[in-house]
Amino acid sequence: MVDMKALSDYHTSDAAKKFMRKRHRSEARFKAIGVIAILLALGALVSLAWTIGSNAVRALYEYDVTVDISFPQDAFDRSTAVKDFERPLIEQGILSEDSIIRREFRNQTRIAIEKTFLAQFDGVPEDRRGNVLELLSRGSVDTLSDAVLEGTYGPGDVVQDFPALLSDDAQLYYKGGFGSVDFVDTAGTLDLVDKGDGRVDLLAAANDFSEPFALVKEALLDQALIVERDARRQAAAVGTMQGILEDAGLSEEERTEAEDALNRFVREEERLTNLATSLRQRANSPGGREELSEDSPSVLVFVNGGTIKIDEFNGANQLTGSVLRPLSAMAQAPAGEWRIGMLEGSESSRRIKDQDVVWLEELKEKGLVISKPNWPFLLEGDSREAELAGVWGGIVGSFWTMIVTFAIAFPIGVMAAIYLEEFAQKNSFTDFIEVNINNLAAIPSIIFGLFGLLLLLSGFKVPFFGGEIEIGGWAKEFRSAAFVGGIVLALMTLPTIIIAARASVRAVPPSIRDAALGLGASKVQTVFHHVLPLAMPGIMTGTIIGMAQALGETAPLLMVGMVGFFADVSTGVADPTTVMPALVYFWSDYPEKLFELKTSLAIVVLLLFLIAMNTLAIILRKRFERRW
Amino acid sequence: MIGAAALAIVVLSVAIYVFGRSRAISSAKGSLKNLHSRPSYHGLFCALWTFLVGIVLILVLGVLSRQYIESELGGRLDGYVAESQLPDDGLAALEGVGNLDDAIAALEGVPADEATLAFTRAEIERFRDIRGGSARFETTNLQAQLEDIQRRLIIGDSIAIAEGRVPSRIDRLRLNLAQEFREQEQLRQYAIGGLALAAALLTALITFFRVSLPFRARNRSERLIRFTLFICAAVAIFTTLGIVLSLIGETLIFFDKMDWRVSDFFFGTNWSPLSNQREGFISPEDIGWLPLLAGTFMITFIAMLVAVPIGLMAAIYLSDYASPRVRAFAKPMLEILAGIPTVVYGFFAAIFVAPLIRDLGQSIGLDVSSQSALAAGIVMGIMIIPFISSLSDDVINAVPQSLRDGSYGLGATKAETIRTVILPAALPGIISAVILGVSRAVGETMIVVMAAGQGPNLTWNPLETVTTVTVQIVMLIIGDTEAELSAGPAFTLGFALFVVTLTLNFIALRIVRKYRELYD
Amino acid sequence: MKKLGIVLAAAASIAVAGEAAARDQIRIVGSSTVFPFATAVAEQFGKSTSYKTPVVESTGSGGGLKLFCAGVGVEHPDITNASRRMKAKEFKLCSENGVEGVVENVVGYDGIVLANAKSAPQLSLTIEQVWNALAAKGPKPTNWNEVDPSLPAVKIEVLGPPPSSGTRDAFEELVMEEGCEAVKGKDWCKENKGEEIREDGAYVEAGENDNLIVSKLEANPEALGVFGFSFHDQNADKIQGANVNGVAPTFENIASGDYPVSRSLYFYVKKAHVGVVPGIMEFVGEFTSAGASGNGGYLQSKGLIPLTGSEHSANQAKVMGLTEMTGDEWN
Repeated sequence: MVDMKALSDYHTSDAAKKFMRKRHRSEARFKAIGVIAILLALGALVSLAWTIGSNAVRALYEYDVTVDISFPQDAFDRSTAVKDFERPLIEQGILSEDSIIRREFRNQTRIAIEKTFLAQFDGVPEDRRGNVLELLSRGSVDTLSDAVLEGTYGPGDVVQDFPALLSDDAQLYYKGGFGSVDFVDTAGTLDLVDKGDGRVDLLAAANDFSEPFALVKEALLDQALIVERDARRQAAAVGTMQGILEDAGLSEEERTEAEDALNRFVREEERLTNLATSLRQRANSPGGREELSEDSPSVLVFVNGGTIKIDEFNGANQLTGSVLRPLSAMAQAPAGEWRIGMLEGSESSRRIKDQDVVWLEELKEKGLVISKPNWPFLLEGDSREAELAGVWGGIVGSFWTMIVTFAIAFPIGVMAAIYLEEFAQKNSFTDFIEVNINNLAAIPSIIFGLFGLLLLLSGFKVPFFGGEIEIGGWAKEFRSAAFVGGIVLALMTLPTIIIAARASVRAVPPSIRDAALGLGASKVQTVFHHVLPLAMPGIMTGTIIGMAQALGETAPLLMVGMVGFFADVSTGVADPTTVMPALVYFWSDYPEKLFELKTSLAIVVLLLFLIAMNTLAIILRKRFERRW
Repeated sequence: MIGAAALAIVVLSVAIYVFGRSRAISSAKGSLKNLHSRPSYHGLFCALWTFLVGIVLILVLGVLSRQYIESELGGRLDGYVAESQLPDDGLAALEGVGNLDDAIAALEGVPADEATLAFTRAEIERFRDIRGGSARFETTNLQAQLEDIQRRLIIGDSIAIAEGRVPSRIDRLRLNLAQEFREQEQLRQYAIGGLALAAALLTALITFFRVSLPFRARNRSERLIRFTLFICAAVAIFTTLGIVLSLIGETLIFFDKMDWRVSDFFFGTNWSPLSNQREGFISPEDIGWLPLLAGTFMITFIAMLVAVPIGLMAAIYLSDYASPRVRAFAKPMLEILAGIPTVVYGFFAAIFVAPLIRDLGQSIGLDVSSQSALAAGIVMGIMIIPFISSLSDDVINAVPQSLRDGSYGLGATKAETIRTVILPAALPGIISAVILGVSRAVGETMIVVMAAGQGPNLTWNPLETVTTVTVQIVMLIIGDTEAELSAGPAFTLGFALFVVTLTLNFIALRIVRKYRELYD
Repeated sequence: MKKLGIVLAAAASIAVAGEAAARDQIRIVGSSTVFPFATAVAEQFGKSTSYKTPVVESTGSGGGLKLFCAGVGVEHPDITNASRRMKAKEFKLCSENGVEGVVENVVGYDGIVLANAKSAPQLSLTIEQVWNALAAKGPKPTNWNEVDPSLPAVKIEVLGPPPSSGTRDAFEELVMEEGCEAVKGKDWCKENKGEEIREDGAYVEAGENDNLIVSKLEANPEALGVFGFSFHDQNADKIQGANVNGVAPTFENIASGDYPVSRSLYFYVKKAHVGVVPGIMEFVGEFTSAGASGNGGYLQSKGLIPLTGSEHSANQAKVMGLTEMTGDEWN
């Protein structure tokens, strides 16, 4: 007989309560770990989406400069387009006249655009024209020269409001890729004295330059840190050298040489240390004279319709600068009528230089810059110029590849599934087939790529009755084509489709088969007339999911050459082409920063396709799937 | 011509379908029930056979006859002597030489201005430096080889002339051969087309006349359909077989080139197969794959450190704790992770995770490589989370509710139940899920290509750069090297990778089969 | 050892190809250094003419010449790019395979740059020092100051391309081989393969993804990277090139030939294909035009160092006149 009181005492005792609390704590801990796991996984998803999304958003629009372009009266003359030395070559059939004319007209169009573009600025020195033109994309001429060749525009015509595309660096500047100009409003007047040679002395009445001056001083501290690090390294070298000198086994010659080196090291160390000290001193003392170099932050003064870049601080309010954009007058500027602009990064750390910044700000100020949706990104093929590159080539390539994949994998997959589910006898051979299918599903995709490379593209020779026969290499002609990529992906997708199709066929209840068979249908009739139609929604769902996987696959396609520069959009399964994921891989390698944004946008496009396919699969499943 | 024949066969098949069907109808004389099979089956039977016979004939004959013509054409050149003769005093000396030392001795005294032979000798000397003088030496008859090349060139040119493409040279011999080829080719095309068409027609007639009341057309055509279905199922076998054979084939060729120093591959610690590419050969000392294997497994291990705890705990939480609403939200989110292409993960690793880890490391004074194994491993782990969690979810849900109820009945908390009852019961399944995850990580390519390094580096430090088997395959195949040189190591690595992943899958399957608890 | 005469074996790979259709698209193979220029020209060509945009593949100089010399016919490439001159051996291979009539064209110049991060001091090296620091058969020092006391006392760490890259090839040829010859003499280098780079961690194969090398250099200011000039130019905001033999790797120095580690870039045209594959001469014309490869042409902004004016026009005349190589170029 259990003593109930003792038992209940035990359960209400402090020890028991403590134990219970411990158990509950551990329970809560366990649950918390679960929540943390979920949060971590979701966090990964969110940070991935954020990284890609925030980049992609910046590639959604592009910047153009709108200008009116007028063609000279003597432009587009067919009779002068062909040069004399080209005539004999045309007669020999080596050159084609049409191509020469096309190129010449294109050149003339470009020259017209460039002239107009240059004319937008307040005065560009002769030797800097090239730099200005680098702000213009080389593709800005594309649409207009096509229009010229079609005869829409001719000599003497004026094109109103032509949007000329800007270069990738200029685009990136407007997108904030190089930091933006921080404007400071001013409280006092500014006196200007022309020193000639493009240099100007500035005198501010109030302490308007205190903020930029502080920024410059701050940069000195950073510089000091670097110099100090070098000095420490040099000190270490001195130590090593002294160690070497202590070695008694040195020959006279070696000793002199080492002493020489030691002296040099010591001198260099001193120089660096002194430099660092003086840098720190300059940074910490107010006022003083500071020259700005390539490595300092940039300070620009926007005054009297022009821009001056500060080269020198002679104290906080007295400065010297050089003119980057001509001023309308050297008159005194009243307070608030002029502005100071600061760029935090040093000029040498930017691809856009101060002069470019001034030009770009000038264009913006004149209201010539427009931003518009980046439709060409969707409609154009690949390009080496970041601002021109588009994904249409990849989309079309992916489309053709998927067509081939579907045409091969779907019928074979479905028929294989039907055979295995409905006709195969249970024997070791069908077991073998099943094992094979499961194994195929687990083979890394890159192996399928190697297989495709060998069998379809390169081929190999095997000895055969004294001679050699070549196995494989049947599709050599189709290197990089959707045809080959599609076959490789089909082999890879096949197991997915077979497994999905088998599951759907199996899900059709036996009563359907029994009813059909009972009415006298043959096995084949039962399957094709009754089972297959009922299983179709499930099969389609599985197929779409398999195709979505194939659409995102890259590694095997790298093996068969579907990564590379293919500017033309393919027109069929036999053309060399790239596919969306391969484009993502290829672009991510380019040095141009704009390509990083475009890669993100390409990923978004790819993901949209994948989401669309998966949504379709879900809808199919929801709409047509029958529960028996 | 052949295309036309194929088209004709298709048309014929359609036609015979119609004819067969109408013959069946007419032979039924108005009461279709007298037919054994419905009329369309008679038509189908005729059409299937006609089509198959015709197309198979075209394919088989097309491949065989082309090779026959080319070899026939080559036969015309049997007496042809190469225009440029190789100096054969050296060649004669090389006949029957057994090893490299002997070969060099035999070439002693060959004048240096005989460019080809001098070159050959330098080659042999270099090989000797690497492999030692007693290594096997084989030679082919260079003169014969040269003649063979020129013969092939002539044939290639002739065919080019005949087909209206660009030949390297046009002369009388080539023109004659081209003429001959053109005639034969025309003959061949007509012959194949005609033969296939005739065979198809014959089949059509035979099957057509078999259409009769008692003819079991349905059974016959169904047998054919079944056979087709079977062939489709067997494609899986053909694919596996093809993969295995092609990988093995290239691997054997590669090891043969390496003098069968297989142990250098498996136990060598130096991987730089292309270090001698300028000279055009691979030294067996440079093909040790251990650094690659170590790198692969380091990244895999990091990936598993991320994926297993998160994936498993997420699965446990979702199956036993989460409210239906949380589950309905979180599960699809995890599945989204599974649907993201690996190239996207690679980009994510390269532009976000790797710099993040590098900056974190720098802020605590660690020197982190910008292509560290850690970055690639973590991102790969994220990729594998949904894989682990969905497989674990399945096995956890497969543990019967009665076990849970029993445990709760004894007063255990949820956590205790999971730890002491559910996890042990689900363990074999979870382990096999982990092994499958490992197998995926080992074979994963794009993440490591984009985020891991290319320098083979044998190290334990996850902050350094390592390379993996898949990265090396990609680099070898798409790099700037001649395919002849880079294919060998790439395919050998591919074969090794294939074996590793297959073994892992096999083990996973065995574990599930062997330790699976059967509750019913 | 089956492939004794490698030259001959290569010739044996002439494909007796099946029914190849006529090709209406130019096929270009070859060096990865010339690749960005060739693709830029190809793109321009595709836009400004009615022909299809040529397909450009990066196969390395050696691989490209091998494919190019494999024969005449649509299955073989029309043009190959090379970051070095065709060798006599390769010319011979060409003629053995019936590729007669090869037109040589100089695209411009390229330099190999040893660069470190902007935050580090700019280095000044000699070719001998680089060889001593990096050679497999050299003294294999740990720190730079062991090579020469005037160099900083930091660990030798050079990030460079793997052997599968053409830049590596050029680096070995222009720096390591020259350096070796200066230190040890020509014969010693030939015998001992002096141009080989050490593999004990001082030279890190950082892959061909040069972007990552740049970010790695930024993270580790003590490391040096090996680049082609064009890439260095693109990233001039992040890295700075070391002086070699006292000469800075600038545009002007490479163009004038003062910078010691520079090379000419070439492409070769198969004359037999001119007039057969449409557009070849127009493409060559575009490539050699002043607007492209001339001074101030658009390839310059891609990092090409153009020929001087007279060199450029002489080259253009030679190429447009389809002047064949004679085989005496190497004497």
